[in-house]
Amino acid sequence: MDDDTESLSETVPDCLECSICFGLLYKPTALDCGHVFCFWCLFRSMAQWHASKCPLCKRSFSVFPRVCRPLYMYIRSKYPRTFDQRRQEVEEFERATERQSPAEEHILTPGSGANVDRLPPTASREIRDLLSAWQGNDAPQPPLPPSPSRPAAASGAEPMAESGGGQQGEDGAAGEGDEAFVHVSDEVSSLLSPEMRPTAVRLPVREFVHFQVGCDGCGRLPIVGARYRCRDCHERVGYDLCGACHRENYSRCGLFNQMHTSAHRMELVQPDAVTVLLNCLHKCHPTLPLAELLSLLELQGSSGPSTPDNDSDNDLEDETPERTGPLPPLGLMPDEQSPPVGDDETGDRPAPAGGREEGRGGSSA
Amino acid sequence: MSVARKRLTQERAEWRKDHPHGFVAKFARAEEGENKGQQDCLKWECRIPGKKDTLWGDATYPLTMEFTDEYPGKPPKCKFPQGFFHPNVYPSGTVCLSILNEDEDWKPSITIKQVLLGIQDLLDNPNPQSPAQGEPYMLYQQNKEEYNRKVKEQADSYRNQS
Repeated sequence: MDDDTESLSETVPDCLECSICFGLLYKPTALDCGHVFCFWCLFRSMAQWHASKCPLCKRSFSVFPRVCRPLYMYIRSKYPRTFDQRRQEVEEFERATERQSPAEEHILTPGSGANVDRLPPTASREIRDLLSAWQGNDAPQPPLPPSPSRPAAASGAEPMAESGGGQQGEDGAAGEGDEAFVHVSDEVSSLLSPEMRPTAVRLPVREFVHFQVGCDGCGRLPIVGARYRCRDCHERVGYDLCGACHRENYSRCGLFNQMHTSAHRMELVQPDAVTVLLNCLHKCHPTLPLAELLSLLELQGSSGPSTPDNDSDNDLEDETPERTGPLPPLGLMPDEQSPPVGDDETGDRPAPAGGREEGRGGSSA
Repeated sequence: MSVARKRLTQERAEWRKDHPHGFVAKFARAEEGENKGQQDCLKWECRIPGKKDTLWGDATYPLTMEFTDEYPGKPPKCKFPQGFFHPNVYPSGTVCLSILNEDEDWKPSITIKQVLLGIQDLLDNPNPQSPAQGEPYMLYQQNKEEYNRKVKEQADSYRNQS
């Protein structure tokens, strides 16, 4: 079948292999904890509702970091054949899934919005040594112009405040005042049980979680609070900004190679019914993990409950229930990353099954 | 090829180059459907030898590993045959082990070799903190003699089989 897995005579050091795909790091992204992964490997491992966790050390983060430019250049120059093979693989993957990672020209251009200039100081010794030895010798470093408007936008990992995270309530407020609330339509509210309604319908805008939608400015995923979407970016994935980036008129290219420009028009997004319902359910059951919220959502929505088809024994059994029920319109899929609950008996908690919708912003028009 | 399949192909290549003595790990062949008889890299058939000088020694135990497309973000499900006698194995055969639990110690960097070695280690070192099956757990706690007898009996049955 595939005979292209041979290493092509280039020996890649372990520290340049992604610990998720085990391939040469392609478009490497580094977390603040110092762990480095391929662009897609990291993105695919991120949670879409809660903050994410580093796949290696489980440290919490909520900002999808940009590609590390010096590391990308190093890898490209030192391992050209393996790099090329990885590029072909990823391009094939991107064609098949109709999405894009940042174009090379954007990764190589400082300040484009698609890269960061350095590795975090927490990165492994091996990687830092490789890079600093190389930068000292054969790498002509382009001068680094000061990043235009948002120098800190790239990789900060402030923990995502479940409630607000510094977003201002007035974004998209229906009226100025103490607190702005999301409009919960009659249609949505009719799906809620009567005792839930009073709590559910008071959803502050600043706490609203835009499930599966990240900010193309600061990289925060998911966006919490107001969300703005570009009316002129035609890419399927869309171009979104959180309230803070919108206020700063952030207008560089997107994290997924969207050709956004400052001439494009942004508009405030009115969340769709499914996302509003999900937020209502979360408000009423703040500790429930996403997978359970989603099954609640299926119950609340007209479709019947999905029945996990367990085999006979159910003693202390935990078999992952298959999600067989019909999915809500957005193609919502469960995502993990929920804080462990209750007694944490090994493997004794149903884990969500089924694929994760990996594209962001499934609601693109 | 998906990330999961690519990684598994690579794991298999690594395994062929080098693996611990007495272990087996290979792609399963589809038992039914269109691809009957073809190799399926999302399912592996393995054999784990019991450690020498333990009650589990001298036999090898069959284990299947099932992967999803979310591997290695999510761990494989590892199963012994149904009814396998061990305190940390569910009645269905599923192994309960922290490195196989996404919410505990699973990391995408854990290799199949490490998983198999971890399970081999678990055989003779059950973890009483995570019981998964009533009888072996009770016997292990309260009646070691009977527990040992059952383990031995199971080892004998697998020795004859392999």
